Amino acid sequence: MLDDNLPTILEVVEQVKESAERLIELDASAVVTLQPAAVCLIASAARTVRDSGKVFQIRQLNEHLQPLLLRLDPAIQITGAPRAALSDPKPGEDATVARVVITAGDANAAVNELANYIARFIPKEDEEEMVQDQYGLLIHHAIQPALAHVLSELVDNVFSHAATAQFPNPHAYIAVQSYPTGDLLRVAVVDDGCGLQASLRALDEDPPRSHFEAASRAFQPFTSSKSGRSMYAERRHMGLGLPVCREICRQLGGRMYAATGNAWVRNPGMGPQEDRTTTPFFQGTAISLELYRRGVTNRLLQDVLAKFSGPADLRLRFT
Amino acid sequence: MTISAGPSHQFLMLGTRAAAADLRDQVEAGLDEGCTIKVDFKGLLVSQSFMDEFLGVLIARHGPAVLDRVEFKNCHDEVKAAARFVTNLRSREYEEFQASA
Repeated sequence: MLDDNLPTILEVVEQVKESAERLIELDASAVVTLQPAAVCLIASAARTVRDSGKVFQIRQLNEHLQPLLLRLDPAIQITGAPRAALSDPKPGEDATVARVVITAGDANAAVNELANYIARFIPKEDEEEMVQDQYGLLIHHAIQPALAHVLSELVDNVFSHAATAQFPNPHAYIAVQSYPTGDLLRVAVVDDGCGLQASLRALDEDPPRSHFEAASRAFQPFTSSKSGRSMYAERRHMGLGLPVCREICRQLGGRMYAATGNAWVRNPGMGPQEDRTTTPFFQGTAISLELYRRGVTNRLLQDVLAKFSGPADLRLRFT
Repeated sequence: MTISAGPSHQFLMLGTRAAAADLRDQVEAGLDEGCTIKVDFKGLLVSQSFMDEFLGVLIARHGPAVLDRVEFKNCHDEVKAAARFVTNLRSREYEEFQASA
């Protein structure tokens, strides 16, 4: 049954997607909780199955989990249990919030909504005074911008790099989970696009030869599907989205997972890395992170960018 | 001319390239009119991808000289860090391209 072991979840989801049956039913009667990556993967599978002309149903999904999936895919069919109201958790409850982003133009609003919403679940004793500093920033806790930053980079990647002629309209499925005790946050962004290897095929000199190589190289600084030398300069990307997310994760004492094709990688580019081959093949990219709130600082991005930059340019004018 | 970088009471973070392209279009329209542009980041933070799509592309198109006509107002230290980082990389890239052309 579904648990937080990502390769296991991938195998279940891919069985759903590749089933030859016209009606596919997933028995969720024993499922008490779903981790963010699992929620996103199920929603992504539901869309794939529906687009192929089949019917996908989830049987006996409990009322606490239903709103999550319905937020990601309102067309999901839930049977054997009363249909729950579409609502988000309230402070004091176990909080997982989920959103689907279908166009690049909607991404910034969705990311901010999620980061602001999760900030409400920070326990009172950890909440910083609502800060309005000299720059007009209003935040509950420094994790709010850190979370928004990570979500921005991951969701932006979907619309910048996951769309191809074969996969013209990838969706970004996002879920964030905050717990009533402790300082762990779980974050997942899953897309149903072309996957990392296909995305990096545009690397002129040396495209990755396997999904594992693609997953590893995607986390290397200055590597991007849009960083080729032959590309017009203003269309090139710096290739730092995933490395920055990884550094944020590292500074917050967390772990990161990436799955694409037949590759599942834990802690890509940060030790100890673990690689596992998944079967069957996963079409798309899934990025999952565990972050710890208490490691966050108010200068997180400055410290992260310092790892990639050289001497500062003094030509900028700040007033 | 002063342009607000974003709807500051609605968003904390300007994070995506789509949002940056909108801002860049506004700034370039002002530059085309011969104005010096002040971009106000009051109440906002940015991702490095946003800043690259906004400022990095401005530099790629117009060269580092564009910085003589664009001012950054009310920038949190995190925003300044992203701006400096992108300026550094993109200016160097531009100058290398000019040298090889």
